[in-house]
Amino acid sequence: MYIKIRAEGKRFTLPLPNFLFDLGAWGMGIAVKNNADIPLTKEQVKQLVDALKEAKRTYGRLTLVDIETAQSDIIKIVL
Amino acid sequence: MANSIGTRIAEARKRKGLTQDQLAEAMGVSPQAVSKWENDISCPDITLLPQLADYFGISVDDLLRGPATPDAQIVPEEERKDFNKMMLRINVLSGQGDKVKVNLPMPLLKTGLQIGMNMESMGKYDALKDIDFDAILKMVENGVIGKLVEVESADGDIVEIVVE
Repeated sequence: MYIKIRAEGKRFTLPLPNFLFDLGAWGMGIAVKNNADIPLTKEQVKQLVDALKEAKRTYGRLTLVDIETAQSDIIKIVL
Repeated sequence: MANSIGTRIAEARKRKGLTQDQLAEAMGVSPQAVSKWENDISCPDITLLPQLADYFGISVDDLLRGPATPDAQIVPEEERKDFNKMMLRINVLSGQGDKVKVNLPMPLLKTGLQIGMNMESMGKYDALKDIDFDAILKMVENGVIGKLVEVESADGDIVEIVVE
């Protein structure tokens, strides 16, 4: 997954490898265990990560969000 | 450029199982010209459009603008597409000129709604605020597809939700 941003003449591409999702889910589990104030449970995060992985398997590089502002700034989130 | 004429030519050619060389030969142009069309570097000559459309068995309008989005319809159970391969597309054209396109595979939307994802927070657009995505999900699970929502808010935001 990656996030592409083009704004004010600058371009950024932020790659988000899949293992970061797993790491996020694991970290969320620890945070929930320690009673951190997080609106999602570990199971919910796992559900979301699994759904994202399944979508990746089915669609490959799917553009989830594509925003183009009136000022021609662009934000894209690609699976 | 997902909905460009080049993409539509490429898709139509692949549907017919042709190579760029074969299409070029049929149209009397060079393979490089076909490649340029498909990559949106150039467009077919206007006099070639009817010939191209006839060759692909579609109308010139469909070739230029893409097929019209079908209105909402209920698909009989035996003809329904696999829910896991269905896609929810949200197109927002804001009054200020912003364009937002969201492509959400249905399983991802379902999971998001189950865990309490708030679709309203997706943007600042008024037209999205009162859309009941739970109801949309239920409709799709019961076989409704096509253009399910078309809203224009007082601010001039236009929202279209299509399920394919």
